[in-house]
Amino acid sequence: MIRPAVLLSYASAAALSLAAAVTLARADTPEPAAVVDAYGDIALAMYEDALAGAKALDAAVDKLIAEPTEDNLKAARQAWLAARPAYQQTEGYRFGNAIVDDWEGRVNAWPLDEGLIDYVDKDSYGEESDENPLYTANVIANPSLRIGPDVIDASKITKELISEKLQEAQGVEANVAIGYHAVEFLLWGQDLNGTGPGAGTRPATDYDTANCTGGNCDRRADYLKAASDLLVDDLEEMVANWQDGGAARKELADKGENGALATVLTGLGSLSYGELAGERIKLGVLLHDPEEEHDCFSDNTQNSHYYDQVGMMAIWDGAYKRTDGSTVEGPSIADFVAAKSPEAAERVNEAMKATLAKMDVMKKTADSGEMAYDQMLAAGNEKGNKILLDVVDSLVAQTRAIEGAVHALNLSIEVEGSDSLDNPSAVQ
Amino acid sequence: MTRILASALAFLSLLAATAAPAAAANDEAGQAAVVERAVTQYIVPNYRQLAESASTLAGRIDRLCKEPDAKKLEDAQAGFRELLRAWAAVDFLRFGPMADGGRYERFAFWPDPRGIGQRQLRRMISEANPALLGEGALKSQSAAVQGLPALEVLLFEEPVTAAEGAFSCGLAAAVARNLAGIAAEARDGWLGETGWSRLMARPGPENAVYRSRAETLTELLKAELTGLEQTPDQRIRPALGDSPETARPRAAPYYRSGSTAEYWHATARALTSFAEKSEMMSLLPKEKSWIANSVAFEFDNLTRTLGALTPPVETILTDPAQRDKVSYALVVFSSLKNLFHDQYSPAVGLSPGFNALDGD
Repeated sequence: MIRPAVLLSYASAAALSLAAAVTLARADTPEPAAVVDAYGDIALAMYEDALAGAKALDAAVDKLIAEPTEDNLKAARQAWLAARPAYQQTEGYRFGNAIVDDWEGRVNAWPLDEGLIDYVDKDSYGEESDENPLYTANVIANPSLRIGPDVIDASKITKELISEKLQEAQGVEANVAIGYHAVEFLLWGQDLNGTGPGAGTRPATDYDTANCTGGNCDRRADYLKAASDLLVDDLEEMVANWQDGGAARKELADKGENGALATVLTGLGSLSYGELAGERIKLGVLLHDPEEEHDCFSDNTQNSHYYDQVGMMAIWDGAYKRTDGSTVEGPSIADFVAAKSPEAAERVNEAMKATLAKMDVMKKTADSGEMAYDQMLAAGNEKGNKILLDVVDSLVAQTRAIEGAVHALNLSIEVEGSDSLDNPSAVQ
Repeated sequence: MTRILASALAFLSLLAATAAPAAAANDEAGQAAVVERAVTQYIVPNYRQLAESASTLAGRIDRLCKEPDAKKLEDAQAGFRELLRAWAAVDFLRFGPMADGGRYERFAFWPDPRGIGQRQLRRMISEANPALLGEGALKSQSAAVQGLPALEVLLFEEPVTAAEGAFSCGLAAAVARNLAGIAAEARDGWLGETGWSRLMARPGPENAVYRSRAETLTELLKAELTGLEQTPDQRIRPALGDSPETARPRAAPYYRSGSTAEYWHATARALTSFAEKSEMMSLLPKEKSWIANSVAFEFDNLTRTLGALTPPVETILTDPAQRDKVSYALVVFSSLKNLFHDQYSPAVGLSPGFNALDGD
């Protein structure tokens, strides 16, 4: 309501032509197509950075396998940690973009029953689960295994074996055989400290065929290499999807301008609320269960959450700071909303800043060594619990603010349903 | 064919029998009235009922543990089923005081596909730490051991009337008291000067939650949609499977107490009642009144179908005739979801927003 009044007073006070007034309005309100283009450009840059991180990780894995020293293991872990921020920032693209959501399980599936992959501590992990027949299948130790009625030849651990036979085997989502978290488990091993200090402590000799610990070091190395290679393959696929004319850009374009803008906001709202605030943070605090930690082997969860928020802000603001320090930017959804409703845009700005501040408390508390994330969620740790629940509350407020933006643009968002319902063809 | 014909006939008779609610203007006053009715006619009374049922159950379990016998166990189990019905009336309301401080998850941590609650509860029973039975001690424990699913295991699977079940009985009593406390907090959170009723009645720039009337209305719509989504997706389909062979009775809600069908049925009644009591259909413009008729027709189908199931759940999931009914109910759920999402929302100028199920 403010804007037309301003235009009107200009027009009446000065001899501002109608054409000039229209130009003024255009300069203020970015074209939807330009917003969507910039959104795609930022996606491309983010996935390129994630891919670069995965390639560096893959190189570090090669080195570890060739020379399984503690230093090389440490370097591989460092490469994994360094690869995470760029990937986590892409998560704002997941919901809303079906091409991303359908693919996401291959790279970042979580939580996992890691006993599928390798040896586990039976005292804390247990021997079996009502829900998962492959709870302790341990493919690294077993060259042949039974999956339902079939006996699978696992004598060679290959990309095909782990992605096509083991991933989500028997329809159990916790059978995560590939992606960042599978690699994380292979680099760190289980974190056996419960809600006490410390992460996983897998020794480098788990990969040393001359002085092998944990058994089957050659097969473990094959597994790690296959998983690391797959991560690179999968990220390459997503980079291609976001190139000019790529499938992800086409999917967006096919939705029309309003549909594409709704997708942008759906990605931010769904990640903020159901996924991050709910599934990944609140649940862990409510269950006080250290397994309910997103990066549970490496104790890196504070960074994974933090960079989700950084990525959401980059998408909202239309400005992404790349791993190399350069910036990719363009007309933003924030500008677009602000042109329609400055209040609605400001509410999102404020909410996002507030969330980042709460996330920062969580990150600093963990990074400083005061309390790891899995200690924060322990039963009876009031201070730690509060730090995490503050993040949850701020994400909930952020979601409401994003809904306000949706309303201001008069958009309709499609609530994320399950693939099996909405898109049966995506279910294999 | 038969079903289509029957449906068509039922539809015609329904049209004759019930007209759409008198159309009210979809303006500030009309919207405010819908929100007010939802709160005073549905939400508050049902949270009162929840608190009362939980408190009654806590009393019964206390008596059971003091002097255990079969009759008192029966009373306690009946009280559990009654509490479950009361819960079905509010478990799609994922906002307000019940959504604060993890009350919702503490009241009913379900579904739990990784069996975390079972694992934690078994450990708790084997450790039998008496400190956990003290007033308020459960509150800081895992949400999965302090609500309805844990109480169901304790009352229906643990030997609470025998000497070796004394700790389990004490734990059941503690869980029931905990539930009564949560329900009372949820009820009270709606009332008074700073209550959620006030928040919903007075949206505006200073309101920390609702900036506009439309946002309060959207909250109601989201609740309805959450119920229409979570019931088929989480509470029915995983148990039904694709065939009698792949049906999984243990994935059905509250199968331990034999309450699954009753819970489904109570949910259908609740979702119907929420729409009716709020009279949200009154906001539809006249030319869209067919939406109200279709919604009423489908709710009627849903409630009738789910009310016609014959337990136990193992039979419901394997008997072809009963499976057909459940499959039909899934179709109706989907149709209702579409009616609310694709027809009702745009017709009254709302966008349904994000819901708690997004990340699943």
